[in-house]
Amino acid sequence: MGQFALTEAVYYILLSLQSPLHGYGIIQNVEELSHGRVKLAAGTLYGAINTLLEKHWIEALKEDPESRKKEYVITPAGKTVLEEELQRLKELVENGTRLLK
Amino acid sequence: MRKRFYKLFLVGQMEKEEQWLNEMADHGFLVLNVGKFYFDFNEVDPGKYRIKVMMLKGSKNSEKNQDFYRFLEDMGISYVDGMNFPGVCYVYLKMPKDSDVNQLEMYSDVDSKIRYNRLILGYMIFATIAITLIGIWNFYMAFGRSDNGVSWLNAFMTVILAAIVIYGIVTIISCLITGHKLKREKRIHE
Repeated sequence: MGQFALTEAVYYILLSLQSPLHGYGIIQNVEELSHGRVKLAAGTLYGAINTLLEKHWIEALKEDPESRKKEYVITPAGKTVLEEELQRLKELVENGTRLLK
Repeated sequence: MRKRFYKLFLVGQMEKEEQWLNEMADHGFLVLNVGKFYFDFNEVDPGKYRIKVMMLKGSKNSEKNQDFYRFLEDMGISYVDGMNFPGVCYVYLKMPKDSDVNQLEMYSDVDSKIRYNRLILGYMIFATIAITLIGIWNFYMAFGRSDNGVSWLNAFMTVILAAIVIYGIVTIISCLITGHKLKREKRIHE
């Protein structure tokens, strides 16, 4: 953990799941956060969610009996990964700002 | 009202198949059941639905795939029908055109596109080898048994199978090119 960069999709998914959301909610949230730039496709999101569940970076909440939609939320382990990634991104941005003329 | 159309698409012609099914939907025929050589349609309002055809690993009824359909259902994409092949399946999905998730693309990043391309490539290689073997057997049955003369039925089958093998090879090459392009893309972009 830590030495690899997160993909843009995973970064935004983790960021979105600081409060519980279902699949489509994640797509909407990511699109909004990125001002329409990142449009997650359903298959890609599904694959990412399953990998994140296996890594225990997110967890599935019990289904809402009314809507029957499965919701997901970030775990403490996921939050650590997100914080480490943010540090890495900060470094990139700082160096970019400092060195790009 | 239901209507049946007879049409055959070869494996690997998913895009063509999807395009045809979308044209049918635009004319008011929504696919309902899929057989090896036919499609059953339901008459609906023209232009209301979009159809997606995709390949998945395993059987159309596997637990993993069922879970995927449930996930899609939450976004307004529903499973219509599927067809099993050895080790993989085709699934037919529909989504209302006016729904929020109005997308035909199932994969949005390079990684998942590479994985999907690899799945199709693997199946095409398997199918092409299988058909080549059946073709060789037919060739032997047609010309290899000199005491029985030439079997024209087997000769005819050999020609058909040879044509399919050529199609398979062309598809494999195009999959390899797509995979190569994606991998080159991945070296610099996500």
